[in-house]
Amino acid sequence: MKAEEVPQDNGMIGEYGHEVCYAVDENGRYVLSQSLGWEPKNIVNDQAWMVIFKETRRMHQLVQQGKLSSIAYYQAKHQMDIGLLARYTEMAKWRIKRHRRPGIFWRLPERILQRYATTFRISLTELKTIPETFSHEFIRHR
Amino acid sequence: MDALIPFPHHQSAHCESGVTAKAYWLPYFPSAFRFHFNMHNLVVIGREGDHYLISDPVFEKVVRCDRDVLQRARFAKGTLAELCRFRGKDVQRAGQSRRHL
Repeated sequence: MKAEEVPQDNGMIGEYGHEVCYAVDENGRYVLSQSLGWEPKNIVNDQAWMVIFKETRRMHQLVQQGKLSSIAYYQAKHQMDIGLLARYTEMAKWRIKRHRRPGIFWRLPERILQRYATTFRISLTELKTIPETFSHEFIRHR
Repeated sequence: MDALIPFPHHQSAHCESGVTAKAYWLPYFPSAFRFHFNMHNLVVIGREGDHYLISDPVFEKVVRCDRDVLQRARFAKGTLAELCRFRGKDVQRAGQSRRHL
C-alpha cells in the first residue's frame, strides 16, 4: 500500500491520535505511516464491543433479579470467562461457579472476596453492589 | 518489585527491555483496543520515578505506564500468558549487542 493510500477512517482510535502502520513511499521503500483507522476494522471492533455490552447487560439483569451474585457482572464487564477469572483469583473453576450463586456469595469470608476485588481492581463495597442502571459507558471507560 | 523489569536502573538511559504484555491492562491504550490479548509486544526504554517510558509499536510517541499497572499487564494470566515471562531479556543499546536489534 502506498503511503498516501493509507486509510484515514476515524473511529475506534478516537482522540488518541494515530495508529502507526507501514506503507510504501514514492521510492518504493517501506516507511512508517500514520493512520486514523480503517473502516472494516472499526466495524468489527464495534461488533466485538456490542457482544461484550450485551453479555454484560444480561449479567446485570440476572444479578438484579437475584439469580447470580455480583461476581458474574464484574466478570462479564472485564471480558473474562470462568477459566480466566479462576487463573486471576487462583481458585478452581468450580469454586468460581459456586461463588456466582447469591446465597453462597453473601456468606463468603472477606479474604475470598478480596481476591475478586483485587482482580477487578475495585473495593470490597463496590464488589458487593452493582450499578443501578447499566449503560455503554460502564464498558468502554475503565 | 524491582524484578519487574530486569533493568539496571542506575543506567536506564542505556538500556531497553522487550516486554510481552496483556493489552487489556495497559492504561495508555485506547479503550476500544483493550481486550484480553496477551501477545502485545512493546519495548521499555527508560524509567522516570514510578513510571516506565515505553516505545509501543502502535503509538507515534513514547508513552508512560505506571509500574504497578505494567507489572499487572506483564504478568497477566490466560492464553499464551506464560510467554510474557521469558521476554524480559535486556538489550544493551551501547556497544556490541546493538546488532541484535
